[in-house]
Amino acid sequence: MTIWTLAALEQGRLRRDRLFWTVLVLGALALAYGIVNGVAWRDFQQAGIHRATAISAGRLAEAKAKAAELNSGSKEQVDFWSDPRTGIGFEGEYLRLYDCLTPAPLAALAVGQSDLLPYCIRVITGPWPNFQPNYEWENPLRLLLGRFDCSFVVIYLAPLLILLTTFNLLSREREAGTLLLLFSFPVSPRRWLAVTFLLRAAAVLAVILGLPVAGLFLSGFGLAGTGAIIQLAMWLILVSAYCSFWFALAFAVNAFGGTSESNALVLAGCWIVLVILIPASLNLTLKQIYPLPSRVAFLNAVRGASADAERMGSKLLENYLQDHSDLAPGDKKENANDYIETLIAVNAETDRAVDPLKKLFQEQQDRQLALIEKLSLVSPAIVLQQAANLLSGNDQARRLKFMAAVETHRKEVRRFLDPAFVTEAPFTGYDSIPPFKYNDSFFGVKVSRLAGDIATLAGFSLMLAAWGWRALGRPILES
Amino acid sequence: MTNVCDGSTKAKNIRMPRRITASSHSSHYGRTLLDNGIQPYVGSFVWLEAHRQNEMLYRPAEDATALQRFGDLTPALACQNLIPLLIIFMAYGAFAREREQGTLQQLMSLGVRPSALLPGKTAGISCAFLPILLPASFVSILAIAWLTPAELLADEITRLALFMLSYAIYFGVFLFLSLGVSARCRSSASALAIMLSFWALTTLVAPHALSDLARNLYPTASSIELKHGLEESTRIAEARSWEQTSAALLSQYQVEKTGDLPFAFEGAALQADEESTYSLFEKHYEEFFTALHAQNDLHQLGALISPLAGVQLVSMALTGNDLQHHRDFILQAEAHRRVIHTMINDYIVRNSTKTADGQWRSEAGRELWERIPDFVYVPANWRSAVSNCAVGLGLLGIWFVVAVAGAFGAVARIKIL
Repeated sequence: MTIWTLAALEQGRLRRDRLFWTVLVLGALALAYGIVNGVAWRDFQQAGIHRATAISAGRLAEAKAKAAELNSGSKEQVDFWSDPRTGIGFEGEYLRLYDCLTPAPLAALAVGQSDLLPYCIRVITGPWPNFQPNYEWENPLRLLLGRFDCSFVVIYLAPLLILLTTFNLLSREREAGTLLLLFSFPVSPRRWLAVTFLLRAAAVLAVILGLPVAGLFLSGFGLAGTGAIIQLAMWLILVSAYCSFWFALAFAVNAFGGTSESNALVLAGCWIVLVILIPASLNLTLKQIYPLPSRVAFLNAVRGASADAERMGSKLLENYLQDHSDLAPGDKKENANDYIETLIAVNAETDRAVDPLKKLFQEQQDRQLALIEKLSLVSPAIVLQQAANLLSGNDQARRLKFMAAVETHRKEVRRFLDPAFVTEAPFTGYDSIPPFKYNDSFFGVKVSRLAGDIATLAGFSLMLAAWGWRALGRPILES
Repeated sequence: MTNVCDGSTKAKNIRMPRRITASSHSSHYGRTLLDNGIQPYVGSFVWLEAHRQNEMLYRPAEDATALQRFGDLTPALACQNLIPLLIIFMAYGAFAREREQGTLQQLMSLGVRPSALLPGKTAGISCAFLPILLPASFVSILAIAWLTPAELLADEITRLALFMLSYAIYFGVFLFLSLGVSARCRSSASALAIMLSFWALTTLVAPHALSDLARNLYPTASSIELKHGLEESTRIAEARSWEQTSAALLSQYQVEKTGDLPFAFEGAALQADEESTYSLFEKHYEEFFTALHAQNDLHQLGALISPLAGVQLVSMALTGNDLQHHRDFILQAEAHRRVIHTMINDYIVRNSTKTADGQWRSEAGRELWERIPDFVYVPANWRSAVSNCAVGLGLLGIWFVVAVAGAFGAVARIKIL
């Protein structure tokens, strides 16, 4: 019997397999819901970014208009603290500077860490202490449960779909008494089981790969974007490799000739261990091996540093002004007792004292990420989650890099505005505020990491398939 | 700490004390060890400062890696996801395998009634879990007794008892459903496949799908929009309040400028300024939390299709780590902020003295700061916690009754061959 004849026969049987098609339709519905949710979240972020840009531009235009009005001899009395012609008034009342991270081309496929970490940060540069978080206001229950996006469907549900439709392909023939009849045809068990699996894999992959791609294009995905084609191709290969792993696992378990019941137990056990237990345990282990410093201790340190700096008062200001002669005090009455200069000096001293603590957080997070990269091999679900987040641009590393870039920008804007806070000269630098710079390249490290992830999944799949192939070499009908 | 009020300036030139209040709504008690609920996803501190009701800072999940999304390996995760799975593994073959092996026929031939078989199977499988659940319960009681202040012990123990009862009902749902399905199915493999599908749909698909559905039905605006709206409305209110207070006091004391008032104008104006924003903060936060409560109510109703949706909210409410407890903490922290700033503004009005250059100045010392009360969070009692999740609890009860009835019905019609 040729492979094509066998495929045609099996295709007929597959067409009549109601359970398979029911499960596949449910999977397709789940994927469609996932892509709708992913697109909605991406659009929500884009709308937020547009709004932030509009607010920023609007307030800047208002500042310019108000300054022009006041300069043209208006009799209106404007308070020093809200006068756009003073640095402090412009910063406090008008400057609404937002640094935003544009969603990557595949952002709709995996929400990743984007719902937890900020995508738009208000850059606050005034001399006042600031403890404003920048995260999205979201239902914490939703954050706890996670999003129903494509990556959720692929990581959790696709393996279940695959295992449910393949766990008893060989055993059910034996239990129904049709195994003898089946192998009365001139076909080897290896070839028959391989063809049966490949047919199911083709149908499942067509849905799992096709639907999200269709959804992406329907929601405005363009191939013209930088690296868009490569990213999409890598997503397709990655998901194929992940699904192949589960097909290969089911193939191997089938090949060992257990009963339907024992196959189901083994495969369900594998799924629980690989998708639920190992990732959750690794999460717990990471926190134990590289614990982050306490936020309570961090805040106490900030308060302590701030109090110390305030106590140093005039001495601190004297030292600070030696390094920053551009901040020498003016003589305006609003700034009596060099209040603003002292505040700037105190903040600078507090920042200096707290910087090593901030670095501790960063270092521990870097260690945790490095360990995940090394240990992700222990679970295909972790490999896929990390890779999907990377491809969608919603990984932790990209967010941390963005937040570091915002901090650099904040310091630049501060350096630009600090002299204006203390000078008598009118503020005119509305159009000279340093711009936000963020270099977001997909290529290089990311591509090589993704290639490694794909190779890992493919390697495990091949090993499992080979193991099953070898097991099928023994006489099936006697077992 | 000093409080310097320079009469020539407005609010920003007044050094206010700043306080950070730790979110302590349940972390002191042992029940958080059982289910940390939404705690990793809400901030740990509130920065209390003048003029502004702040959001909570430093959500622990932000400091965690993406692996956090696979969940924390807590007793709640084990009870909600893993123990039901173990129950399924132990119960799916209870009748189906006996039928396959022919032992069911032997049992019946001994005159055992099917209705007597079900309690026996139930007791047998339940007993298998006792070596895990009994020590766990005992350790939980000890931990809670050890960590809870004496005056709250009765409330904590009641919460724990209800917590255990809720999970017992939840486990019962899975046990009776598995037994019913096992009695109805022709083969143990199909019983296992059906129950595993049920588990996946109710513990994986439904909670995620419900949370996104709730967000779509009860959307909230972006934080950029919410914060901008809040900032704009408070800016306008503060400006109006400053002018109105100034005009009212000038008229009342028959003076031409605020510097001529017999007290520091800034103290009175700052208090009016604070009070003008109270209702705005309340309105904005209320709107946001109303949407969140609507989302959670829908999630609770989702217990109609998934018992997990019910037990999840019940578990979080009883351990004090749900949205209502979080909101309760925020409100108490805000009330404390108002007390602090009312006292400070009052101090400025009463204790400022005029300097030679006509400026009002005041410096507060230890005596003021010691009068400011410490923040003491008063936790909600168990009745309040239960009322927040009554629907979920009720639906969980209905699931249990249906599962028991279904199991008895299936066993009554069991096919021996």
